[in-house]
Amino acid sequence: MTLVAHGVSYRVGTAEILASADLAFAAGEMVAVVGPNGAGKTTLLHVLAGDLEPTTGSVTHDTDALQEMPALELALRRAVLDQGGPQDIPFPVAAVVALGRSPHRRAEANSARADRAATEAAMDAVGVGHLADRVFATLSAGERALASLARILAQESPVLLLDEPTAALDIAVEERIMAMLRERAAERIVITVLHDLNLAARYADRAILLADGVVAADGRPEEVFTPASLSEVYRHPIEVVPHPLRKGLLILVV
Amino acid sequence: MHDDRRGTRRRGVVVALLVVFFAASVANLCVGPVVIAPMEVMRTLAGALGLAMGEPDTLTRAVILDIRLPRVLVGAVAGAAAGVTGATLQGLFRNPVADPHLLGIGPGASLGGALGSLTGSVQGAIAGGAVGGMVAALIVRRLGRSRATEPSRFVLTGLALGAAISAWVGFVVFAADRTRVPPIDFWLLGNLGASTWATLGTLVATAGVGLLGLLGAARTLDLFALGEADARRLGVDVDMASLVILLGVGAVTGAAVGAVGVVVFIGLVVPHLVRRLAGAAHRVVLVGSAVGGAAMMLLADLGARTVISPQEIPVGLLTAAIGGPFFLWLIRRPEVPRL
Repeated sequence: MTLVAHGVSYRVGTAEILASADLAFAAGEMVAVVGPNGAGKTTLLHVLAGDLEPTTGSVTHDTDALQEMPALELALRRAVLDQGGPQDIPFPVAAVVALGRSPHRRAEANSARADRAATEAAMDAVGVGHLADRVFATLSAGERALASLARILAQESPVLLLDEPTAALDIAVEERIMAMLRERAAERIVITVLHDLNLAARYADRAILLADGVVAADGRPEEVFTPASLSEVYRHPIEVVPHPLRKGLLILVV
Repeated sequence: MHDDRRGTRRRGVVVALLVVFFAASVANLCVGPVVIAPMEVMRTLAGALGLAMGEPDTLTRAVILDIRLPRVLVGAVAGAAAGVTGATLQGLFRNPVADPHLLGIGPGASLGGALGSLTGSVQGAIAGGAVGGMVAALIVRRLGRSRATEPSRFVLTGLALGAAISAWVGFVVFAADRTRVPPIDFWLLGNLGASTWATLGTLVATAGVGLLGLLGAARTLDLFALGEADARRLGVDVDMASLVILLGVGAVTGAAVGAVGVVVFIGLVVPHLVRRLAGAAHRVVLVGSAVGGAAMMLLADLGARTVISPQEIPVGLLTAAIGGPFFLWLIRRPEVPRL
């Protein structure tokens, strides 16, 4: 299974938000997209999701172009966790998560039992089972983020595109969620936009560093997260050292 | 276990609304210038259905079958239409004060209905209302595109649009032949007094399909609660769905307005009440709003026929007099999401 961006760029008026990116993704790697504010991370994610039509180029999933896919077909191939979206959803968490099953409802192989099982499994994976009966709108920001993530998982699509899934979470939950996503990446394509470089260094198999709409670096975290490239892209001195307590890197703001 | 409790509660709310609806229907059949005992009403209805239960006299038969029953049924359909269309627009725009009559769809239906009634037939009025409602719905769709999530501007725009269109209804009414076009108070405040079996037949034929269609849109409306972007990501063709739903709302509202005029506040009060009692899932909100809307319309009509009997007052006066303050109370109460 592959997701490929063929020379995609995205322009609004004369502003080039994304410039001819060529990227290929395959199942089995956890990808982190990093970069400063306004680098084009979220735009890249939305283009890869088929939510935004690129100004030039195309995105294909297993050789099928996303732009030509009806919404329902697209919904079976990829799930997207957005930063925006209404927070005042008046349904209980279990009902919100169950909405993630909608794309499957017309499939012959699907059943109410399968929907229920997938909904419960997603809530358990994220750890929101105890919130099942709480109305989404009454949850804390972190709980809402987790419930939304459970809805994305219930969709059971082969591609997961996540925009800062852990931004509202405490440290312990953040680690647990990233480990869970990494596990899922074994059989899926998981691409997450992250601001926390250390989180990216700990959990990603591959990091894509964006700067001003251009892919500045793309590779294993050890290759991408060098003091020189990070300092230049973030316009701030950054040091990278081996992590003293575990395998991998520790990124320090100087 | 929690699912079961929620299901029980939802069923309980719908059953309770059905009981109110049936009680209001029977009361409307019994009460009037000629008071008829409930047993007598039952016997007449049974006789009309071919079940012999003794012969009621011809006057009783005529009052119930020719006058009161069609009025009750037309009121029930128009009330259900008001409840369902209000709930639908609130879900579609994720805006608790969305309602066809506040957003200009009602006035558009009035204008279409007034023009249609120039034909001198109730069929013309209902068909004209449906067309007017759909045209107004398309205008609201343009406005809703950018402003639906900004409640104050959205509603103000709808009010301005509605007031302007209502003025045109006035021009049509005052310029037209009074024997053909119903008077202005019908178009602004509603009246069930002219309801006949012909009204019922045309109303059901015009609004029935739309009503069933809107009830079937419950899951799509649930998905709209996630926002248009996530609804699209879950496979909803958002543009097509909102177009079809709005046209349905326009046609259903318009047919009801053509039949009984503009009856306000049912679409605001009833869905809110159902949501408070049974939760926000649209499957329940829509069905509950249909039954509750019918019940509210019939209770209001009971008042309209009896408050200053033998004279009748426009039914919309009662729904506004009761529904307005009730709605204020509902929206001022702190939001305590249930279930």
